[in-house]
Amino acid sequence: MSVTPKELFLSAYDRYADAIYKHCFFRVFSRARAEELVQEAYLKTWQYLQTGKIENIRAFLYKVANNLIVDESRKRKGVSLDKLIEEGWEIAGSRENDQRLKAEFREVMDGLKILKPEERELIIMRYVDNFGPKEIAEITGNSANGVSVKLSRATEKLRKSFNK
Amino acid sequence: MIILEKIKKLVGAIKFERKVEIRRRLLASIENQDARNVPAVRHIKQRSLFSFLKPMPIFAVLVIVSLLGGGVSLAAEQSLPGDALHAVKLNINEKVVKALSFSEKGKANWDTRLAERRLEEISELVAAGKLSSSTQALVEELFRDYAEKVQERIAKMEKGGAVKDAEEIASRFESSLRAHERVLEKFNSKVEKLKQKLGEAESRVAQARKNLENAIKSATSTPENQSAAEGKIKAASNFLDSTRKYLENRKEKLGTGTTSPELAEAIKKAEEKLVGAEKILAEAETKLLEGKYGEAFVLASKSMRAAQEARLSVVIEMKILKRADDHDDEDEENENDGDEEDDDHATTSANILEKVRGKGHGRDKD
Repeated sequence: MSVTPKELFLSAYDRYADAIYKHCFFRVFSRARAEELVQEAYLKTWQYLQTGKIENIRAFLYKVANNLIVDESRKRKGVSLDKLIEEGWEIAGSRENDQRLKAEFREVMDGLKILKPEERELIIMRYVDNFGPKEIAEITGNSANGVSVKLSRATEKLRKSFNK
Repeated sequence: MIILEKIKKLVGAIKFERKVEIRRRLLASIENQDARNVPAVRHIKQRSLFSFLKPMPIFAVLVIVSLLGGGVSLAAEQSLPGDALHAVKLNINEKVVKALSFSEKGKANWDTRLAERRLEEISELVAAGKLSSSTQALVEELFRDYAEKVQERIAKMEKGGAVKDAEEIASRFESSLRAHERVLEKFNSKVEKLKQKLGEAESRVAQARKNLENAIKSATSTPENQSAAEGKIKAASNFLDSTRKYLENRKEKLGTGTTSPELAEAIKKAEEKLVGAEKILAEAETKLLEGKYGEAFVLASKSMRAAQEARLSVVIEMKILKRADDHDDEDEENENDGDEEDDDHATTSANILEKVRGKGHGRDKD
């Protein structure tokens, strides 16, 4: 029995919504906006499913989310770290005042802040979403080689920042 | 990148209840077979003509909407103050979209649209020959409320540190108010009071925008600010391109469709304004090369504002033209029924005004 587009779509929501939300959060640094982006990405994907066929729905969802984020993240002001920690704290679901976790959160966010938005995009896709360079290339529309070069440059930049 | 592994755990997944909520919303949209009008499941206070639904979440309201059929909601979109369906437009359609916006920017964008929609309605009412004193009072009241709400949102965003987002909203709203002001000019004294309210809102928004821009101009040369300026220039450039195409398209159709000297004039002025917008964008690019990112951002925003105003003035003129055409058709069909029209509209809109005012429209705490 073949899977209907509706079944495919809902199962893609159940399987990937968390991961896409996480991806969006790291890119826009806002819980509310990340939720909106998840919804928008899925809606656009559903609209597409009405007219066309999607080979790899996971990659497609990331591609749509990425396109939605690109304009948005470029326009945004530098992130307020305190606000971010407050929000990140809430997202982490931690109720205890755990100073160690808080310090780690601050460390990572500080590190990410020094990256340019496009570098952050690559780092998030590689290390948060666990995509390989080939898949990243597919999602961002760049060449796999280009992605590898930029990724290693961004990783080095981030590593230096953590080792300061 | 052990540290990133840690952060993955720290951020955690989307909150369970939010995930379920979005899923239900998507499902409702699939079942309606119209993904563009996504129903919201958010629990908003439904204070409206439909107050009998008050204890229910908006999801329940949407079930009712889908039972009524999407046609009602679609037809309501075309309604004007004074029409029976205008209440559906205000209290269902517009609130559903509002409930869809979670972020402050999303909400500010929609409140801006709501204020704009009221201004469009006034122009369309005049064009359709349906402007009575009570419909006018209703729209003026609603416009004032939404315009104030937009200003509150801009202030809130600024306070929260989202200066560039706040500037974007203020800039867009200002261009829209200016475009509408120009259109209202030709209606002379009929809409004097609204013009006054519009002028007041415009100067307040312009002031807020200037203050925000001063903060942006003084920004330091960080990579973040460079990206922001580049992004803004790119966005402005894309918008200018699409506006140019839009105007060309309209111009082509001028010769073939209904000829309106007002529309032709509006297109001509819009084209002139667009040339100005292009020059400003070129200045923005120069500033970017000089490393003056704050100034580049502000100039790109100015260029976009000019293009938005140009495009909107033509869009509004088109809407007016369409209403006027519909009105002419109606006149031909009902040559003898026209006398009572104003009184009928007055009664309906007075009722709506009373109910909407009494129930605190557009003031939902979200």
